Amino acid sequence: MAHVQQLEGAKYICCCGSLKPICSIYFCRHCLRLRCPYCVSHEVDSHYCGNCSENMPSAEAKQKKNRCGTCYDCPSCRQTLTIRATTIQIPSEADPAKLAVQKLYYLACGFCRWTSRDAGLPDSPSTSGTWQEPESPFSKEIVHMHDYLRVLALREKNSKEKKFVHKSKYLAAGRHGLAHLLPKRYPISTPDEMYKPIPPPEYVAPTKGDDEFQELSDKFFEEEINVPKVTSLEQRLHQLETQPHETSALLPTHKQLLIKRSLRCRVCERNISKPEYSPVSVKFKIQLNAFYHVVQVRMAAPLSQPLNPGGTATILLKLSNPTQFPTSIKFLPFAFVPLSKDDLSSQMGALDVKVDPARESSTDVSLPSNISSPSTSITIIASPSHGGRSALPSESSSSSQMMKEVHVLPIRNEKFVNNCRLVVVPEAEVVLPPKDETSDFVDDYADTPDFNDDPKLVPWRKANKATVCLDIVRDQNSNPEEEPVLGITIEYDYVNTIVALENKSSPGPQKVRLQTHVLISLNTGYIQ
Amino acid sequence: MELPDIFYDRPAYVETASGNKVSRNTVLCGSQNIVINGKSIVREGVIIRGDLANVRIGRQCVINKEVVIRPPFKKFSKGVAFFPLHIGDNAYIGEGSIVNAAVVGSYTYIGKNCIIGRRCVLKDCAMIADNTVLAPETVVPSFSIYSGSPGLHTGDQPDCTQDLMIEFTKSYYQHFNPNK
Repeated sequence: MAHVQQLEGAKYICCCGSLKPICSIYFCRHCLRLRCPYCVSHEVDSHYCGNCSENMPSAEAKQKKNRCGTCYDCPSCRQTLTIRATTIQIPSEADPAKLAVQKLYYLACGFCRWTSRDAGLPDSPSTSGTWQEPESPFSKEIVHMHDYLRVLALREKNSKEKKFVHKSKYLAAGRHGLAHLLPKRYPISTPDEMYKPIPPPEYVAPTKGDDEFQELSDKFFEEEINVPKVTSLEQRLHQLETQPHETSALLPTHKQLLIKRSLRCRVCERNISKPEYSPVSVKFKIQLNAFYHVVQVRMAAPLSQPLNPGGTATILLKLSNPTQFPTSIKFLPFAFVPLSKDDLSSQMGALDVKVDPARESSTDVSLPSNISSPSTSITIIASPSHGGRSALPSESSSSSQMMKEVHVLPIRNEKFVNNCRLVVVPEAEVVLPPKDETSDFVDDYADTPDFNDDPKLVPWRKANKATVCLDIVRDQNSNPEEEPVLGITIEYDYVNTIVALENKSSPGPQKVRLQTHVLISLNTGYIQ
Repeated sequence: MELPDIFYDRPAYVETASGNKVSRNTVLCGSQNIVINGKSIVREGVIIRGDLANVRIGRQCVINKEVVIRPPFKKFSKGVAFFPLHIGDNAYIGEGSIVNAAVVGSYTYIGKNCIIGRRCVLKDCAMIADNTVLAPETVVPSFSIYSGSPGLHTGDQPDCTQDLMIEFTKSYYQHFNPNK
């Protein structure tokens, strides 16, 4: 979908160092940081079938191997199979001399014309007919193996000392259906029992090489292969249990279930995205996609000519404010410093503050500007408009947050090219009014307040959007093969309403100044 | 990147009171059975078969050039029956696609040269990539991307698809202007 809006052209940098377009990155309003899909934990809310939209409890889904009980996929081309009806005439039960009409049903693929009759399955007398399930030839072995591994897992958990207690109540294994692997509060086995070897499952036997090989039968040399009757690799892997070689052995497979998932910030463990329960609903109970919270930056028009090393150009950037509050945007030279473990240790030494990750309060984020921590993607500095309140130092909170981030988040630090920079960093800030849904119904913008823009910087503005004109230069020594990419840091106001909601004593929404780092590729022209 | 302006000849289009812009160079069979809710664009060469069954198109949709919209039929023991075709709001149908679906949900995006088979159901926020062929009676779940021939679930849409599509169709409408 990002391609529709050409959002791929502007990549936002998550604090872990991964680059994502604005629509696939999230904004945690408790930590006030960008969170990419790698920095959030994904939780399965519900299982449903994409074809019949039926919800399935997770226990049942697990039992049915995450497949729908009623919908089938074509084993040949993987399209959904439809039920077709036919009628046959059979002797009636009441009077065997007469013929009665009976309806029979079979499965058919509308794309490749495969039918369940091709597989030799008899027609079913009911629409929800039970079709023959492929029997796995290894089912016994799998059960043995499963039992064996279960015992091993239990033992391993029991024998482990509680070295590290993770306080996270949501991210515990229990949330992911792994509760049976968790250590019981009281170990169920005594040490003697624990070290007793478990007999390996029967099938596990050392492999032996054969000294003699059987002669290959003549039919392999004599008979011509009928290629259309041999299954493709994809078809075999789709029917994993039996992996048939011939198309006649293909059986319909149950449709794979889909999931609704909610996302949770790994640092503060609050929900970032929570969809509504219904499988057909596209609404969300909680939606903190960056698209709704972070100022959007993108190219308004493609470059008129290629930008060579050393060359200069004037670009038009389009800014839009998706929030309910006005914001003021300032451009800064690119200032992203990747998150690294070394950073943390040096900072910790310098600050020497006690860190209590369990009590980490992420709501109090207004930091004094002197510790604009270099290792995070969004740096929070005191808002000048907020008086003395925000100038209160809360270093322990910030560094504990950072420590937790370094601890919890994977550091990805994707490589990127940044070979352009601003010639002059504009002094003026661009003020964007809040998003107003009703503005669509007003045709003229006569009552738009005058923002006293410099027409050289802001040539156009409408409702919550504006374009800015920036002069850029490409580095002299950049690789001419690479496409020109402008790295830029923008600083903007964010009004955090969640503070007022959570903390009754708070005087109202908290206004903070955030920074975010964007890489804009300048060569993406609009392709229609 | 902003969408480029698309200019059309004013006499070649009919603009209704509700803001629909429908090209005169279209085949709208059974026009009394076609309802277009407003602010939608129907471009040149489109065929809408309202003579077969009702066709309802929501607000702010874009039906691009040479699209065929044809209500689906179902075979019964006594002949065939045609079913109405509903298209939701803010849907986009790309050039040269043939839509034979029963329902095209809101905020769906259908690429160009697609074939949407008989009685398919496209749920809200679904996307069909360019050159996709969907078999009859396929259900495309919300937030999924189907592509290829046969069309298979190959990806997922971002969570903010609804607003992306609203913004996209709105800006298409704003950039679709008559020649001066």
